[in-house]
Amino acid sequence: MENKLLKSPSGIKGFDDITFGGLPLNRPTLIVGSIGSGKTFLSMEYIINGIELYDEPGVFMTFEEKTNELLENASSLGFNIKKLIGENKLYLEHLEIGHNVSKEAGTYKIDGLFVRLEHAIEKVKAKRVVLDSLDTLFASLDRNILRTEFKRLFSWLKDKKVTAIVTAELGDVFLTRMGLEELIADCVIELSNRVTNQISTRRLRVLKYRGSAHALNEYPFTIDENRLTVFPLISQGLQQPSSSNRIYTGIPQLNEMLENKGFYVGSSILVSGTAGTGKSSLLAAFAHNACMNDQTCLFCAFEEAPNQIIRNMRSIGLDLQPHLQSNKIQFYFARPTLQNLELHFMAIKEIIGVLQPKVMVLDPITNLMTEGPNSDVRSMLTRFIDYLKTQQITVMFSAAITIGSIARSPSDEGISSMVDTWILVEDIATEGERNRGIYVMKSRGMNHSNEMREFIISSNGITLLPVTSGKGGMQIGSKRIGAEKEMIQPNSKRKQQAEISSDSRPNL
Amino acid sequence: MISDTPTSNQKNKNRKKGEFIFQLFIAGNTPISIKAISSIKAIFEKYYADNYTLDVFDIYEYPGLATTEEVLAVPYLIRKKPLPEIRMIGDFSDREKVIDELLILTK
Repeated sequence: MENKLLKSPSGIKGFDDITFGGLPLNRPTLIVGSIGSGKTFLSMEYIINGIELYDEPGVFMTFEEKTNELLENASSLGFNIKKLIGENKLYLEHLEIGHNVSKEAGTYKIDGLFVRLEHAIEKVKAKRVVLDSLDTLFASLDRNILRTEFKRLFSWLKDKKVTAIVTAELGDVFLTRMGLEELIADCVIELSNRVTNQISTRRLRVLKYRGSAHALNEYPFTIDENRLTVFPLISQGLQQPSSSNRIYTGIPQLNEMLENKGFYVGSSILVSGTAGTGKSSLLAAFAHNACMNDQTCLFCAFEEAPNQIIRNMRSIGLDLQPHLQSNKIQFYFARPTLQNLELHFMAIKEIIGVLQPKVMVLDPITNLMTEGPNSDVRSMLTRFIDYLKTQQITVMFSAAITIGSIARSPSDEGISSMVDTWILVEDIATEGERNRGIYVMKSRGMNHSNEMREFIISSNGITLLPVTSGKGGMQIGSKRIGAEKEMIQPNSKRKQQAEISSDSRPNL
Repeated sequence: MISDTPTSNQKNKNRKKGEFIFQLFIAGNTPISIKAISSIKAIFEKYYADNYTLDVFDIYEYPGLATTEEVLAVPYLIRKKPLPEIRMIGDFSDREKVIDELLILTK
């Protein structure tokens, strides 16, 4: 028991997952980051959670913001600091080196800080201490003396048996301006705020955690009106349950192509195709069918507003309105550029938590990757799909691709490798017509059909027609109709099927 | 002894005892504290003669004062009078700097 490193939980969503329990207990942790990267907020939430969740009073020493400014900022973010101060659970003080202070004339110690910290810790019986941000406080003083003094401070904090967070700004030569990272040997966390494609993303990484395992990646995190949330979808891939249950596609003929059973429950399905090939309709059919079978569905729309989707799908015989009224379907509609991908996923995750859907559709995923599938987005998406798998949610998403890209690299549309089933819808232009073709490119764990089928969208819904062969191969569109007429024996099988499909549509 | 400029000389002549009031904050009876006290006293004795007051506080004995006077680094000297307040950090071994910062005019 003595050997085990004890931890002080932060109570911050996701943070305790990547640190496997929180910060090192009774030791100082360094949080480093550029201006506006969320250091103060993370520290503040650590203190507040300590009080509210773990009954551990805290001391917050700020060197940058004035006490009343900090109070305002914190309360605008939903922290009721005044109440906690009133209850003597939080001690908040603004420290500054003082106006009119000239530079040092000779050597010095920082015992003044010790005395004031001691006073603060004693006052509230603090278990958690934040010094935000230490290097700016003494920025004007001699660094060599300061380094020795900071070292003394950190061991003093350890003696006091408090878990401390020390924040510092990113430096040029060292990680921090004063090389604090060398003095705080226990735990170093880096926060950053990067802007890619005009969308800024906050990220958190544990650089070092002595004596403890920690997750290595950079994890996106967000700060909203409520709290800070780290978005770690870590190591979930290993524990994914894999169901052998099946779920229908919503199109009988498509079920046929998939062993007559449809998709696996909890699998991910990609529908890709060029513009106007009917991807959204396939997704809607899947969502509609799930609702008809009394399953809840989350419809994430990134292109069309829900009302427009409902109107459009009604025109092809899929009425989503009743499902909306019976709360079987819920829409999440947002412009992709509104916020970064992580925020979208987090918002979606939040809804999933409440709605507990069995089925989810995402239309289209490519809108989230405005600049093409880069590795950032891909890893994000992979982790998100992994998360859905753990929840056993069957997800179908569409991806718009450009003409020719399939021919160039059929297996790498960037996202195809992360999905279990890949359905391709294609526009086939022949003799003045455009017709739709559909085939299953891959479907893990099943004997899927290798046929290409003609794919018809009418007011009765979506119908897939079997291959009609004639002179010169596959016959589609008017050629197919012509070929059918030419046949002396009517192709009763195909006709039947077409009838069945249109009749049976509402009862899928 | 104090200054040879007429205005300054005039001023200093009119000053009463204890016109220069200082507070010095130290932390414990450490070599740095002792050095700070002796260095600053030497300077004061030379330039202010008996025209100054120096109160020395150990912040471990007066933690409240450390907060109200915003003491972080010690030794910490505050010139309370005359205004404006002047605050200085260090053991005052850098004599030139102390004299410079306290605006003491020397020959």
